[in-house]
Amino acid sequence: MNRVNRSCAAAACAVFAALFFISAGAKALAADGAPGAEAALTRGPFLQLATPESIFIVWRTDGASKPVVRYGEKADKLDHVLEASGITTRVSEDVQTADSSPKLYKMPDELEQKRAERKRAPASTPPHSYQYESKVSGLIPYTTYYYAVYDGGRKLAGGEEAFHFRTLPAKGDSKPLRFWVVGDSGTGGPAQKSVRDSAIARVEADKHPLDMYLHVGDMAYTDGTDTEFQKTFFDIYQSTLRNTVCWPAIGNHEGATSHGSTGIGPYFDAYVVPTKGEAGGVASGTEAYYSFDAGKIHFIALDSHDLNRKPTGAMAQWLKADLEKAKADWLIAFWHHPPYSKGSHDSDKEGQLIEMRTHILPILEAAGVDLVLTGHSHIYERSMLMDGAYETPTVAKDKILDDRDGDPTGEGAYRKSAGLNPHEGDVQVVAGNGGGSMNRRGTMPVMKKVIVEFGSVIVDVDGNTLKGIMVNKEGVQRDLFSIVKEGKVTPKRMENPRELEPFTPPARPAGGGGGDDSGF
Amino acid sequence: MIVGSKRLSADEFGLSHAKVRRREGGTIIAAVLIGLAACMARNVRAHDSPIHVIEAINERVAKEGATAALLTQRATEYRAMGEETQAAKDLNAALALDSNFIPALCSLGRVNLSLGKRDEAAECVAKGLALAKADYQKAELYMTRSELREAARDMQGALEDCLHSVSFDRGDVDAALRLSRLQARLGLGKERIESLERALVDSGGGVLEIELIEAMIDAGRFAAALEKIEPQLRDSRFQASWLIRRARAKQGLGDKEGATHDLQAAIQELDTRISTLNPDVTLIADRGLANALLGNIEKAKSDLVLAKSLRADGWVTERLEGVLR
Repeated sequence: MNRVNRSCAAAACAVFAALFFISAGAKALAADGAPGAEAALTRGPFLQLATPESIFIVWRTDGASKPVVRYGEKADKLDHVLEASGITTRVSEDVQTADSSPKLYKMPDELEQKRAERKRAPASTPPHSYQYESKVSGLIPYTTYYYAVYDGGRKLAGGEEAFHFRTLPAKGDSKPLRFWVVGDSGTGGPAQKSVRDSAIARVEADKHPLDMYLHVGDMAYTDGTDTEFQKTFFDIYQSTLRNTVCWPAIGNHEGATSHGSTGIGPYFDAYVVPTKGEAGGVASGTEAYYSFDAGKIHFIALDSHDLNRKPTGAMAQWLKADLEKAKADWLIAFWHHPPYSKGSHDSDKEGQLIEMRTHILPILEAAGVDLVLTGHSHIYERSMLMDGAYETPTVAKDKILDDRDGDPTGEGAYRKSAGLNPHEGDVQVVAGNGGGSMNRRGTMPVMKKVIVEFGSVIVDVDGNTLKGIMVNKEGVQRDLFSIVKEGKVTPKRMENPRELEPFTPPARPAGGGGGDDSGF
Repeated sequence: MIVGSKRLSADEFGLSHAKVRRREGGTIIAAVLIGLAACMARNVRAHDSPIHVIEAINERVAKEGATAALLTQRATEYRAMGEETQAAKDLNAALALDSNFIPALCSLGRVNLSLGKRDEAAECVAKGLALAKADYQKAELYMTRSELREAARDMQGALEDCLHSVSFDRGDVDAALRLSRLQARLGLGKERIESLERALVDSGGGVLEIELIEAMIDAGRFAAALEKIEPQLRDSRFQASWLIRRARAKQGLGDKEGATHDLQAAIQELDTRISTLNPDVTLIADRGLANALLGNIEKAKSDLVLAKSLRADGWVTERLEGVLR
């Protein structure tokens, strides 16, 4: 682009940005300024940070409101009330409040200006945003509640069957749990919506609702801005998010505007996650990485994007401390950058992927991790039962403990001893097929399934059995694997495990991998 | 019920909203550049790997000419692939185009440090510090200089720079840990405990609590440390690291028998967790320390050799090496 064109573009964008703020400001005036004006719901309500006895209900309005949550065990009898004094309010930078409410993200002006010059929409929280975070406590474990959010006496949303949640089972309770795993979804495009719809259809067909939703990062392309979060995450998944807590891990695209070391940015505004060990596990002191318990599962979410991944770093030290305390039957970890992949990313060549494999996985496997869920690489890859593959490049020899397909209806489920035991093997799943363009560049030797199709993963944990399926965007189940933990199993390393055929990628088309019209 | 703010706002952090912090092995400034350069190189598909981003930047440079920002972005991608020499080449070229481009100065300081070019790294940092205005830039540059000075075995200088960095960067657990370790090396037990107590207030977290207990043992506050260790032990599935801490405290209090019992139990547990293939270096270091404290010097040395053969960071083996000395 020549200098004149660039100047024109910059001017156009400055006008666009100005219009955005003027428009939002006008709405704010309408909300606050005019008599009888009403704050409009702009995000949610959605659920966050669940424990057996509590949950956060979060929503946003355009303009001030008097936040109230009503909840109860029947949709038509919301007989408990949580009022403003028990609700944290966070506001956009432009809003001044008497009690100096904490602020939502505002990008520094010089960076915002650079975005405008490049025709990018503002990254900051829209003006006059009010975010309400209400912790509903004193709940009964594994119990269904209904809720509604209000502006004073005016209902904003809820109070009907669709707005409900079920608290997590008590720690150690062996209730069956189902969770949905999505990665690299945040395009807002048709593939993302199809993946969502096919998973919802599967859940409905099974008559087995989700207990949790894990997102392994890249939920808001391109830069994880507040507006992108709204369009590509909250708007797309609203029907799920109002009933199911999404537990996130930060992706590199969210990392463009949010930073793990500060906990500041639209990603951190979007979620409420434990920092003080309030959902089980050791206090992390940060929302960038955390852990939580759900029944007999201990979950760990890590920041593979922008924090120190070395064993001496705070994250690895915390992980080690957390794992020492984890008393569960199942250990499941998730983050963004895959330790093993030959999809759109190559774990033999890229630093973050290599470091998660060489520094973080040894700690997890020494503590008995069962399942590792990642994304980043736009593909579905699922490993055999494996342990100790930390070298670069990755090889399968002596690292595979079971080279069967893990399919209980095929060659059989993987077997491990009951409880958590070090180095008995784990399954690695790269679920980066949630909506961005697909790409494959080879075959990772430890993988059992490599599927270049959009889709997502549904995992069921019931007693001693974990079962995972990958459902593609057409609703077809394309993979099934299972781990059964019972008795005592002595792992045996396989010198010559069966490996998948090598794959040579076709010449890369100009402009990228293709496969979706989203451009991501 | 009043629920407190779930996190500190930027203002409560004492930071501007522009606040961004030091990143491991590189600069947060470079991270900001990722976003900016991604915007610039719009023919880069949003989820391309570093190789593809480099290809796209190459096309862009060929078509429109190089800029300091583009070259710095390309250097970031090279660094993601561990190609530090290539990154240094791009960063030097970026500075040739704009000698005051702070992101390039910060990044080149780090790259030169990792390449062992300390003089060149120091030059970048000095120039960056003269130009830097934002706190996050100063924090980053002081931390790089702290690491440089540590590499040159100027521990006092390393400490001073680390303190400067932390003063610009409250709440960073990694920085607090580094400060604590430097203070430990310099025998500043009281200051170390005070720093950790402040850091705990700033950011909280189990890691700093553990580091505080270590600092209390190192400072001879054995009884107080024991009080904090006991509940942790009761609550742990894997107890080895806590058993070793308790043994150190017991040794300090003269309970040799109790310490021996704890150390033997720790080794027994660690043996079951340490894989014969590619073991976790932190567990090897723990076992080495337990052996050293038990007087099993040959076994301890063997663990130290094993940990070093697995390229354990100096901080991981420091305590073990200290006991062996």
